[in-house]
Order: sequence, then C-alpha cells, then structure tokens
Amino acid sequence: MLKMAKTDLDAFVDALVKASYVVLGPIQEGEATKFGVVGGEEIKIPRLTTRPLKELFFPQDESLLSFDRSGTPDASVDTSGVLASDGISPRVALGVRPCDARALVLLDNVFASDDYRDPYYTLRREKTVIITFACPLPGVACFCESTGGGPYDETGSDILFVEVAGSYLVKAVSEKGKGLLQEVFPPCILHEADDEDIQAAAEARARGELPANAGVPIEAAAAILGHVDAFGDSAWEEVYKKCLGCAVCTYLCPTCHCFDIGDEVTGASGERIRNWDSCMFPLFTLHASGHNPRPSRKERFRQRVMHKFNYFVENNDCMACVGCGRCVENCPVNLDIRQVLTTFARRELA
Amino acid sequence: MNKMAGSSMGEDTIGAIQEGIRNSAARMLESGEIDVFIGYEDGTLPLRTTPVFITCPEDAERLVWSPICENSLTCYLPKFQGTVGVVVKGCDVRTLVNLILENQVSRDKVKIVGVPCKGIIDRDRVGKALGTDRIIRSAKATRRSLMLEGDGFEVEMEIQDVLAPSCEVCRYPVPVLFDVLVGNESMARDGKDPEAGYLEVAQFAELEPDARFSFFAQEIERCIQCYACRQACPLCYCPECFVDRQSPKWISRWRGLSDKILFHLGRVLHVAGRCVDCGACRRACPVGIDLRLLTKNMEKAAKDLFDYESGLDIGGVPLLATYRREDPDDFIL
Amino acid sequence: MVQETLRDMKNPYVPELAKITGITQETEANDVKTFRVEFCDLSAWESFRYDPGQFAEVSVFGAGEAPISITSSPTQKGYLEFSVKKVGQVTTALHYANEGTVIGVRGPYGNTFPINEMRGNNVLFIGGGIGLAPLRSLITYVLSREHREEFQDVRIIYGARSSGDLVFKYELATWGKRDDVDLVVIIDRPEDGWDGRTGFVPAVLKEVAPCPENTIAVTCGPPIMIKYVLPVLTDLGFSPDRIVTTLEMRMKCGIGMCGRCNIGSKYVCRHGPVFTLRQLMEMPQEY
Repeated sequence: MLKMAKTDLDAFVDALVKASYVVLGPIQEGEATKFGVVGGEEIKIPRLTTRPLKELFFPQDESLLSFDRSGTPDASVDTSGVLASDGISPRVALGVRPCDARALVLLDNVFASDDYRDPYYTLRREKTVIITFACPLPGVACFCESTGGGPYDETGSDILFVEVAGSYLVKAVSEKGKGLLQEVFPPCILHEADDEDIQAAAEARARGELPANAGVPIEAAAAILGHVDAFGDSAWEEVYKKCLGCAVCTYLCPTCHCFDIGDEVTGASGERIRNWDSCMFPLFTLHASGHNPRPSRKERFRQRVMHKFNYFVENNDCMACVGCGRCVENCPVNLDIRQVLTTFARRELA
Repeated sequence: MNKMAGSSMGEDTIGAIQEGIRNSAARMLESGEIDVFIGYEDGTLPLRTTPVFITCPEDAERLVWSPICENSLTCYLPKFQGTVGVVVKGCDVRTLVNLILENQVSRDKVKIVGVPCKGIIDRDRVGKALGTDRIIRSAKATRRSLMLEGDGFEVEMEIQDVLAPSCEVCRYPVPVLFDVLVGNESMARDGKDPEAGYLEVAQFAELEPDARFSFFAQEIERCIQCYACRQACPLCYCPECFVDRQSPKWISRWRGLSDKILFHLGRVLHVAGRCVDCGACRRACPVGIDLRLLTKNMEKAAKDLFDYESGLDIGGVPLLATYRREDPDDFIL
Repeated sequence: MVQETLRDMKNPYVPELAKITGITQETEANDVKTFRVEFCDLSAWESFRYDPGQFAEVSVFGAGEAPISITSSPTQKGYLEFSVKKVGQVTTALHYANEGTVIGVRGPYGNTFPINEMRGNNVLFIGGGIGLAPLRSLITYVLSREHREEFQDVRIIYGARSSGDLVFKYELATWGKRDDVDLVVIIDRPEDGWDGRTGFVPAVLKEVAPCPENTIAVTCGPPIMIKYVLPVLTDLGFSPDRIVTTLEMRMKCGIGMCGRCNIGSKYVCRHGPVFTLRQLMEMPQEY
C-alpha cells in the first residue's frame, strides 16, 4: 500500500501527463461537473460529478464510420478516422467514485459480450486506467450499498485512493493499476504507507458505510419484479404518474446505455452517428408504421424500471443500477427510484 | 365561487395555507366535484416536495405547503381526463389561463385552489450560499427562514436571500384566477414593478453582439438535450415537438452547438407571448443553464411592443392570435 | 497490443458493400419491391452464412439503416434478396435506388426458423401481405431440390387485401404448379378476374382446417392477422410449441446493444425475431 499527500494530487497528475497519459478528471462546466481533460490547474474532486463517467467510454455522440454517398461500386466505408489507435491515447481517469467505476463493469456486459464487441467502447476501456476515490461522505440520494456496491467498493477500479487525514492511501487493485504505479512512480510523491495509515483507512471505511445507504430493499423489489404478474401489476398505474417524460434520469445514469444510430450527410459524404437515446422518449420505440408498443409514459417508465431490475438481471445476472443517486437528485419532480423499489418490495403478488 | 378558506393571517401562515389546501381537497373529493387532486407532498430529499395525485379524501392529509413547493403542477393538466383539482401559485395559474385560452384545458374541468405566494426557494442558491459539497441532511422552511442541518452544521437562512430568481421579480404572487383562495392576499409577496424583472435582460442587451453570442454559446453548449425544460414547461404540450420530427428533420444527431441553439431558440419563440416566467425550465435543467434570460427577453418584447402580459385575462385572446392595425410592424421586412 | 486486438476485432457496425442487381415491383401500388443484391467483395460471403428467419441491417448511405428480413434462401447462391415495403426513411430511400446502386448490408442477425424441428414433419405456412417475405426464405429452402425430401406435406395459405397486393406472384405461380405443395391464395373481397378464394386468412384457415398431427405452423403477417390466426391454430389443436411466428420491433444495432427492441427480457434482434407461441405466452404483451 502506498501513500500520497492530498496536496500532491496536482503533482501526481503532472507526473502522469509527463508519462504521456491523457488525464481525465472532474471539471466544472457552468454549474455542472463532468469528466474532462485535467492537468495544469488545480483539481477539485466533487462528491459526485453531475454527469456520469460513462461518457468517457460511450460519449453522447460519436461517429461510427464515414462513407461517400455516391452509391457506386467505388463507394467506400471508412472507419480509419474513428478507430485509428492513436485517436485514443492511453488515458487515466481519476477522481472517479466507486459507483461510476462499478457501472463500467455492468456496461461491459452490453458492449463487450461474448457474441459482439463494440470496438469504440472496448478500445477506450482498454486504454483507460481507472483511479477511484473512495467516497468519504455519501450524499442523501446515494444508495450504492443497497445495489451491492459501497463507498469503498473496488469493482471496476484499477487503483483505489482512500482519503485519511490529509493523505490518500493508494492501493493498486488490478494488474493494470499496478502497472501504472510502477511505470509512473514519482518517488517524491508516493511513499510506502505504514500500519497506522492502514488502520486509519479501515476506521474511515467503517464510518463511511452508512446504514441508511443500504436501506433500499432492492433484492425484495427485484424478486417481485421477476414475478410473472409484475408486468401487469396495478402499481405501475400509480408510480409513473408524476413522471414528466424527460431524459434526465437516463442520460445522467452511469449504466443507461441505449442509443440511436443514423446518418448525417454533408455534400457527397456522410457519417454514421451513434448518440444517446432514452427509453423515456416516445420516439424510442415508434415503428415506421406509426404503431408504438410503449405508447404512454406508464409503459416507458415501466420499461426503465423493469430493464434495470429485472430484464438486465435475467440477461446478465446483475442489476443495471449502482445506486449513485443521480436520477434521484436530478429528477425535476423528485420521482425517486428508491421509493418505487420500496413500493414493489411491499407488493404481494400471488 | 371564490370562497376564502383557511384562517386569517396568523403567525403560522404556511400552516394555515396547508390546512386550507387539505380541506379544499378533501371537500372537493368528498363532494365528487373532482376525480383527482394534484398537490404537493413531502419529497424524499431535503428541500424537495413532490407532486402527488390524491383520489380519496382521507389522503388529503398527505398534502403539504411550504416555500419548497417548486413544481408547476399545471404541466399535468393537458393530458388529464375527468375533473381535476389543482394547487396553483401566482405564476402557475397564469400558465393555466393560457392552457384554457389555448383550448388545452377546459375551465369547467378544473378546480383551482390558489395560494398567495411568498416565493419559492431556489435550491441552487441555497447550495451556493452554504458552500458546495456540504451535504444538507434535513431542511425546514418557515415563513421567513430556512433551517438547514447537515454533518456538523446547522445554518439558518433568510428565505428572502435564497428565493428563485423568477420569484424575486414576480409581478403577480396572488393567483389571478381561482375557485378557492387559501389564505388571503396579504399573505403573498408584494408584486414587483415590471422594469425590475427586465433589468437583467436590459443589461444583457447592452452587451456587444459577440459577447452576447459567446455567453449563450457557453451556456447552451452544456445542454445534454434531455428536454427536461420542455417536459417541465406547462406550456410545452405539443404532441410532437419540432425537434422530434423525423421528416423533415430539424436537428442533427451530432449534439452540436448549432442544433442545441436551434432547439432552445425554437422553444423560446414557441413560448413567446405565452411564457409567464414560472421558472420551471430553469429548475428542471440538470446542468443549470439559465434559460430565463431567453424567455424573459421574449416576455419583455411582448410587454414593450404590445403592452401584453401573458396569462392574466381568462376572457382575453392570446397575443399571437390577435392583430391590431396599430401593432408595430417595423420588424417586418 | 491494443492495436492488434482491434485489428482482429470485427467491427459489427461496418456494413459490407453490396450492389443492387435486380429490382422487382411486387405490388400494383408499387409500395413493395424486391431487391436482389450481390456483395461487391466476394469474400464477404464467408462471414455471411444465414438461415431462413434471419435478418440484416440494410443501409442506404445517407438515409441510414433498417432491419430487413432476408427473403432469399441460403439454397440460392450468389445473391441476397430483400423485399421492402416503403414506410420509413430508409425504405423510401431504397425504393428510389436503381440497379447498380451500392448499398450496405451487415448481418446476418437474429435466430432462425426451427428447421431442425421441422424436419420429418408437415409444414403449414400462413402468410399475409408483406409477411410472406420472411416465409419465402423458408418455403424456398423447404421446396429446394436439396431439402424437399427432409419434409413431409407442405401447405401454404397466403392472403392479401387485393390481387394487386399479392407479393411474389412469380413464386406463387411456381409453387401452385407443383404437386408437392398445397397452395391456397386468398384476397379479402371478390374482384373481376379473380377466380380464387376470397375472405380473411383466419377464416379460410378455419375452413381448410389443417390437421395438427406432425405439423408445424409458421405464420407471418400484419399483427391483426396474427392475432386472429393464433387462436384458430390453437383451436385446431396445434400446441403452442408448434406455432411459430416472427416479431418486429424498432431496432438500430441488431446486436443487442442499443436497447430498444426488447419485449420483456427478450431482445427481438438476438433472441428473435422467430418465436414460438409458447415463448410469446411467457413474454409481456408489449409489441
């Protein structure tokens, strides 16, 4: 275990930059925070960024390929511009919270399955080292522990930083993380931690794991949602009612991954674009014929909940939620997924 | 009609208004004059209440009132079947007047419970005043002050200091239309002079065009196109928004600045002469874009050019549905 | 190392270029056309081995991609066929394409009709309108010289609104001439010059009353037809495992990632598009 003074964080970033890594961390953008390129300026680690980490791997819009529209046999489809390996340099993402890191492991189920691998996502995943900062102070909307994670969870992290009295304890979690620390080891910044530090970290951890954070009966809710009658349960009539049908919850969710694909053209050439889409929008499932299998907000809201806590579980053996609380905090009408889950946990379906 | 409910102005105005809302809801549900009552109940987070749909009189106890009842509940009305009772603040009822004038809501299908409004707390302002990353664990609002508690702190703030920007310049805190007014007019804030509301816009207009554009570019670049502003807006009820049209397609799949600007300008133009500055769009924005600067400018234009203020006259005609010979037309080429 | 992984990794989003080599107008209104396409690069066939029931993502560069079932049969070598109704942006763009135009094709995607379960059995095909497109792949396969002997009796019941709406007239004529196929073609109402049956597919199915014994029924068509065909088959004694249909949902990626074509936990692009009635009974009615 290593140790670094908190005040050396910027020097640590500089060392990474010197070793030719693109360093990504929380940046302020107006009143919101998101992940972006850092270095040069002082880094502030917010409790949780407004926008999730996923966009470093699955950006809101990206080109999948370019083409010429001539429609002749000489027409070409080109991915070199997009997938040129030097297009994405080795990267380090730091200031990541455990919930966001864990979300990547869930997304791997989708984008890097046994059958198909999404090269855009997987390339970025392979080239990025994740440095997670344990959460010293979970917020009021957090429920990570209820989803199987926690403020000190290491899932998806390559390196874990734990803050203890003005220092970070630095733990290499994966081989990738170990490799990075060995490669970019600035001895004036990183020191060996002593037993006292490790003891202090353990105590901080014990304090940090708040029982309230674990209080959402997700397992019970998931069990009910897995019931054959759950889909038609009358409770859906009530729980969706205040939903406005915007995409705040899905766009800010670190595990939501639905997307749209379409062409954009300029003159004789064009690009095939992928961009985020949301199951909360009516257009999402609208057939060209005009038929819509999910015609109202009720069906769309049900889809979101069922997908996260039932369909995803059936297909991937884990739920598509890490309890980061962004959907809770940012919902314009305070439609709280924790309450919805509690409602279902209490349902009795014969 | 127009009965006064609740006690006269006492120490606990908030409590009296809340009682008035509960009583009105219970009475209306009991008598069968409404099918559902839309109000606020306690939220799951500090500084939050949440919309609630009450259908039996006993549940009226869930209804609350305080300066954190921020949502504009009229946004739920256009899609409702049956008769609805709804709690409205001064701004909300003006959106309702417009919905009625635009034939989206039938006046006889809605029972309006008006609240004389003292202004609503702005969560962003509270956060800024407190300092970022201090986590509020509980909050309690009284008539004048806001008590916040968190890990190792207790802070009291004057509500006046953390009001939503639209409330600060509100002209009509007392609902202009209601079936029941809970409390009385003296419980509301004083209405402000219109010029006070347009000060920011007027100052902004003084800037060079480049400076104005770069400000908007910077703000709107952040937009993630979640359309929460549109969905939260009581007056954005189009069955298909222009940005969702596939043919012709208005915006690109590239989430670029020009497309984001197109959306926001399109939306603002579409609410021109209709927007009442309830602030719902700004509150809904997850990345804090100040959309009010745009909407307020259109509101000012309606006032300056046509001496029109939206949502005040149930017997009137919407601004864009009228034409007078003396209307200014020098902007027409 | 990363670069090598990438080069080895097939990019599932990149379509193969394919040239349109034939266009057939199917309906009188010209809203359905069949496109025959050939890959520009012959090596593309190595990764494009398909079975009846599967679909492909077809691109018109500039208009986008749409999932379209493969109408040809793997027994027909050297080309693919897609029958396309003009409904959305991509299909409209495709309808404007000419012979020689190069489009994109990626796939094949989805599961297949249960050919192995059908072997040794009678096969009953029930189609309506453009729904004959996916069925045609399987019918051609079953009736092919290589495979005909693997199946017992073949019966096809096909209906359309009017004679002008019948697709695959050439194939219908060919199948009608064969003595190892029982073909019933129906249009909704009597028409001058129509000497065949009239009525709706479910009603005619009831009249024809095929025996369920050793028979697998495969039905594709407009949702309203399927809705009434399924109970008729059940009443005739077909078990839900032996009633097979295909589903359509809006989809984009075709490979289970974009997240929009699910019905319950089943993704139409991966677990479908072919489902048995038994499977449908276990899925939410959200399609």
